[in-house]
Amino acid sequence: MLVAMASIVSSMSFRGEMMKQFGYRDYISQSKVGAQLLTSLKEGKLEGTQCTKCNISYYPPRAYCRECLSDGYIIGFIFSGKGTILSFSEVHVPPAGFERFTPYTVCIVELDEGGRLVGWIDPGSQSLKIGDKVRVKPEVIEGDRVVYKITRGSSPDVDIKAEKIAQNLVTGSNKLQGKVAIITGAGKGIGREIALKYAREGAIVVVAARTLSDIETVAKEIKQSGGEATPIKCDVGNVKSVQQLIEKTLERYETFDILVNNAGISKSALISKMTDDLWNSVINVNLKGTFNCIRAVIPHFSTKRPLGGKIINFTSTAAKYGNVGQSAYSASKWGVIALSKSAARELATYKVNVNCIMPGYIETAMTADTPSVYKEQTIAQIPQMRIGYPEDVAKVAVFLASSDSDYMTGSILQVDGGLRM
Amino acid sequence: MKIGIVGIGHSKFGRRDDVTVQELAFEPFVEALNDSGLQREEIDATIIGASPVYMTQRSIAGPVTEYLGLNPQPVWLTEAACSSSASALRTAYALIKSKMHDTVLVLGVQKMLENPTSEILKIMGRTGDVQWEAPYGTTFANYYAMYANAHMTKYGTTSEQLAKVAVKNHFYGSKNSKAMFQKEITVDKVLESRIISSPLHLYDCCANADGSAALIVSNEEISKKISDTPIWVEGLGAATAPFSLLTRAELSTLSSAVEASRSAYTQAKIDPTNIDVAEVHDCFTIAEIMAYEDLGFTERGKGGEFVENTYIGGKVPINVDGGLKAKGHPVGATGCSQVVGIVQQLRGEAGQCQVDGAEKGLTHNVGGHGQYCLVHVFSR
Repeated sequence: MLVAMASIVSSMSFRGEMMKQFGYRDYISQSKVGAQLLTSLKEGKLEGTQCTKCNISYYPPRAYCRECLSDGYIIGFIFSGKGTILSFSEVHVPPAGFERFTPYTVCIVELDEGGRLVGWIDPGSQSLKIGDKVRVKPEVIEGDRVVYKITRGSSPDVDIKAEKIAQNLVTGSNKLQGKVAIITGAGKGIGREIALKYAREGAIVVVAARTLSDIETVAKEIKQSGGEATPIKCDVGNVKSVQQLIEKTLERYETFDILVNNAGISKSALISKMTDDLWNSVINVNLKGTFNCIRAVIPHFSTKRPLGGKIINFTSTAAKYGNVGQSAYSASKWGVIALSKSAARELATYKVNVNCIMPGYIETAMTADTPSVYKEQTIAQIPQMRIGYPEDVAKVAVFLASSDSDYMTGSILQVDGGLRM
Repeated sequence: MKIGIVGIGHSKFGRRDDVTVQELAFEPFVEALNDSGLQREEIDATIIGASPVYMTQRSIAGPVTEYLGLNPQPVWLTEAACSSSASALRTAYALIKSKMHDTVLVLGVQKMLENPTSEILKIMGRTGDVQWEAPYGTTFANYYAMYANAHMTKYGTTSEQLAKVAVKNHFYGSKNSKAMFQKEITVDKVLESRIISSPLHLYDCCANADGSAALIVSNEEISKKISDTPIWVEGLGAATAPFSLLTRAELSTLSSAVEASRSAYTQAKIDPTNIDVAEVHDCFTIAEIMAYEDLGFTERGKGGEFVENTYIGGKVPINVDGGLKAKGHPVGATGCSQVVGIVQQLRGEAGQCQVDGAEKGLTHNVGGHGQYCLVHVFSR
């Protein structure tokens, strides 16, 4: 039997303030894996991680496996939310910031599928006991924060069937069901995340990049999770290689609907010290490579029936504001904007939308070598006070690939936590 | 080579608005120095045990050493929450054993009451997992209250049994001039006091405090030369447990304490029945009951009944200087304070709280809500 939750829900409305006082802007997003899980938590699901090496599932989620020390994980193990109270206590003398909720009852719950969580429970009129069966459901408060709502008993109407990621990865809303997407630079970072996210949304993914081992790993991960993917080696700066990418895709899947021009490189040097080779290599991959791919897909997009397609190009906040030592990168990314707008005009007749994503400071291999001082200074400038994660960008890439963005073309969507408004 | 404790000192615990952290450190230092008969120059190094997060003065090892006149000898800080100074003793032991130094000052010092209680609770709460636990307002009392609930449900331990621990420790605290509280209490008074975190009442909880304690530790040769009654460190056990309740296998025991005591007993070549007197980490009354079981003084689940055996004259006199409950708990100083109590007992200098003929003593210092535990065995 569910206990009325009025008091706990009302008290939770203070949690935003509470967490600010406690020093947390967004406590779950303190880690990359936490940030990745916010979406499902907001959908009311307790989604854990599963180690790709030894298949152990974790709640709370873990980026690194405690047992085999692997750093490979996939998200998608859905816990049913049913559990048992291991212990509890009603707090009467709270820490600073919690005075307004006092007394509140903290309990620790062991979930039926393993894993535990600490949350608040409304004890209601009946006395609480260790061993009581409870249900846990994440709930959004304050617009974007998530807390656990714990209630006693179990109710079939809120039951979420436990399912293992190995059996069904598609836990998204299938916004790209049946679509075929080509993603360049998909071996790691943002491109990899987009590939995984598209697969979760039901797309068939062509995973392209220069390093075969990277894209094979991504494709394998998608396939092991029940999705469909093909790795195709491609250097976007090489016209012939791009041509082969398109031919092989059509050979395998007969069509495609989405092109994500994510491949890019960053090589830094002050203008006074920049060689022609360095300048040309950056421009050739970032700008010419994007052009090569767009030009190569036009024959298909102009003849496919029904008409329709999505091209998503990647620019950068560095294009908007410039960066010391990144003249080639910034110029190439500004060039992508102009290229995208021209392409948007030219391809509108074929019902192809061409839009840009402008990521800010995102945690990827490309930004991993940033000096920590610069990293801290940059994060300090971000109104949302955290670095971005590939997941943040991937979600926008889903939107631009889906029918939700059909009336958008030539646009630039900035994903930077407010860094460069 | 054996390692001996040749000097001890202990400040008055409590609200110490009258001193800076350096001055607070000075009090037990001078006592210990005089006790040992050594000169400052004979101290080769200093290890400070403290939890710096509570104090306004940053990096206190430097300021304290300068104030004590111990420059240019080296100093550094060990931090393991409430077991910081037991960890400092372990570090000193290793330094002397390795012959890097001959004589080391171990000094536990803490000023907590520069912060209001709510702030201290917040700081302590953050010793738990800040991503998945602390956002729900967990506190130390709350963690131990959950242990208490688990222990009560599993073994039938009662609130009265918890209260009896407080009554005993306040009884002995009333005889300790260095204790924060020197008044006896009754079971009724405990049970009538307000709930802090159910089922723990106010008198089930130790008090935040300021305080300091010092040990001078030397190698065997120096110890024998300068002291008629060196107290030998016979066994050192240290262990950890998952810091998050989300990964603890059991909530009614501290696996770190079980493991640390096992290794201390092994090194000292004894078992729990050889211990004549013990100081255990009674930050909450339930913590002392769990310690009885974790240290092997009684069977698991029987801790609640065992309290009567921990008075002087009982099976194992425990916390007969008042424990954290009556002395107060300046987190960085507590580990050293416990050792001071045991050294006094083994020297036969514990006055009206002396356990006759005590030859072997034990300290049990827990850090955080059980993530660290250090168990030390001493002999005369």
